[in-house]
Amino acid sequence: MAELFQHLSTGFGAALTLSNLGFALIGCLLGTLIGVLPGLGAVATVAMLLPVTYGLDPLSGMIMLASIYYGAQYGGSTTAILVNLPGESSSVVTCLDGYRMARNGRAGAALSVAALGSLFAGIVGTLFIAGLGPLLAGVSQRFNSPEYFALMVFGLIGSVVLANGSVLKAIAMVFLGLLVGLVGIDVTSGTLRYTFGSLQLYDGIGFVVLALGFFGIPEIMSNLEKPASTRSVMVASYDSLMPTREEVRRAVPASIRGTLLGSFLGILPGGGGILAAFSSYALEKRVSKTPERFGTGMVEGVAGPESANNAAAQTAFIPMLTLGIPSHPVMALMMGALLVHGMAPGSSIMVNQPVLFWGLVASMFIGNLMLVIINLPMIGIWVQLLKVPYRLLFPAVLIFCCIGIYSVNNSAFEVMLAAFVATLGYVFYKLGCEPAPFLLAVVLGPMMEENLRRSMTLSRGDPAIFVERPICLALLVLSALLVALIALPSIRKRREETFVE
Amino acid sequence: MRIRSLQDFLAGLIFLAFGIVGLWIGRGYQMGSASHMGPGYFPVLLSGGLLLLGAAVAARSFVVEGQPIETIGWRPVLCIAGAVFAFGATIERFGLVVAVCAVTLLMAVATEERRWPEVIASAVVMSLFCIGIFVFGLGEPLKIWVF
Repeated sequence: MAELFQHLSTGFGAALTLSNLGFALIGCLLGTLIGVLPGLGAVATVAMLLPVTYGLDPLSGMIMLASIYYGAQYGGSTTAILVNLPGESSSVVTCLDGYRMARNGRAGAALSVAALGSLFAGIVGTLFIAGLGPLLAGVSQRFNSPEYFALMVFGLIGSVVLANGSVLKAIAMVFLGLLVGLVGIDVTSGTLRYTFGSLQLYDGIGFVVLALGFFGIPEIMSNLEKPASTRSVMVASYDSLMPTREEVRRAVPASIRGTLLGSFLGILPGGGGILAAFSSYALEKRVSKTPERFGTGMVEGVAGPESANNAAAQTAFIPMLTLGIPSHPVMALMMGALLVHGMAPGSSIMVNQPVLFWGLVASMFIGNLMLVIINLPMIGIWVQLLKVPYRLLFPAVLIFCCIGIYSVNNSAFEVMLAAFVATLGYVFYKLGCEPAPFLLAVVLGPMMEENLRRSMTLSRGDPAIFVERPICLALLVLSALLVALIALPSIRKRREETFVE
Repeated sequence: MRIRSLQDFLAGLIFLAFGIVGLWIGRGYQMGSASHMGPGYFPVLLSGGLLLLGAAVAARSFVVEGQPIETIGWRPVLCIAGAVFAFGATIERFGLVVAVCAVTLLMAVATEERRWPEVIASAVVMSLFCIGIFVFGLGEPLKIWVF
């Protein structure tokens, strides 16, 4: 425990400089600004703003990126509550009661409850990272190639299970993603693979291109094809931000339950944000004395899922930071940023880069606090932004996407490539194929190949190595159980219900 | 035999196509053996898997009823993809202002609710805004004007 506080003070020492606070502030503002736009979720926002952080030193860059992430999440909730348009799937739940509260004239209270619940969840989630991180890093030091391979299988299966829609198609998306991840030069043999003779593909297809091509741009396309009348935004008005005493009394326990639930689910591979929000809503409905009133503007239905969602977003850092395995597309982007700065996330980051690691943890506290301090007073501005007609907003968003892609490598080729990737992304969207498992697989592709290769060399070509090692076997059995679980008719039915709701 | 889920049928075909292309190109890479995997081993494994999964998804479309495909808005999709492409094609040769105007113009074509004075105004405002934020604010090496 004393050690933990010492670590944290190292972190705060590094993170609490004036310039870092400034970067956290700018990050929160930028993140909220983009995240508040209807239809743009955290993945698109972080991908778009990623290049902005490349010029900074590693710690400042990560602090800013983390702040952008929080800002984007918060912006998504604001839009969900005020105009009933979820920025991403995890804030769908917030729409249910949040928008009803807004319609009942309690928008201000809903926004405050969401913000304060998120703050509490963020702080608890960060404590989880600080406490669990070193433990997991210790475990992972005993990991060898076969364990890493099994862990990645587990992570990918997790992302398939958490995807809504067909499991079979999600698995196919994973295979496609792994294959796309191999584009470029093979580090072991120097062979060029799937580059179609193009020099620009030597390093593979850029992750920002894929992230915006699958998450940001198709979103704009599908928004624009709806008739203009359904898009006209009805912004709910609000008066006071203060929740009543009665609302506070009901929100606090819901927020605590949501936080605990979210903290655990967030660690799961596949990133439990959506699952956390949905489960928390279901839990609140179950423990409530008046479950039939959910959907009419119950404050528990906002406090619980918002806290759960945010706690999960926070603890999703754990597998990325300690094992080097991202569990969510945003984490994959963060990992990409760390790699740009020459740091490989994994068990060694805590030992070799303690200042960076604990600085990042400290900055999570700062970012969460900053978000509440600057955003509650600024809600009026975000509301004004939502009143700008979509036909004026979307060219701006698309231009930001383009500049974001271009500035990663100053490559015009990547922007043109993104046009094709986005079209493909749109087609997949229309065919009910999930983008998240695909994106994770792209990142994990080369790593999986490398670890499979090493494992097989280790065992002289005998695949039995994966079942002979206990940790490895356990992970593979867990993956198989997950698959079996969703194949069971009763569970499948419940899963469908959860996602439909 | 009747296709019960067009979504699944088309998705299956796309996966199959990717699997075939993956195998076709991958056949040129050295396979190696299980203990010494060549650069072709993993891609061929994945392409093969993709082929099987694609076939399964497509086959299922004849058995299991699925959701219909929502209407596709060709115009916004083509215009937006075109706008992104145009940005990439113009940014280095003609600079930021031309690229921004190209995107704004194509976006105006994408919707029915365009008002030309508004389009021109937003092209001007966006150009100035992007120069201010990205070139001067963030110091990104973007070419501003044609020359």
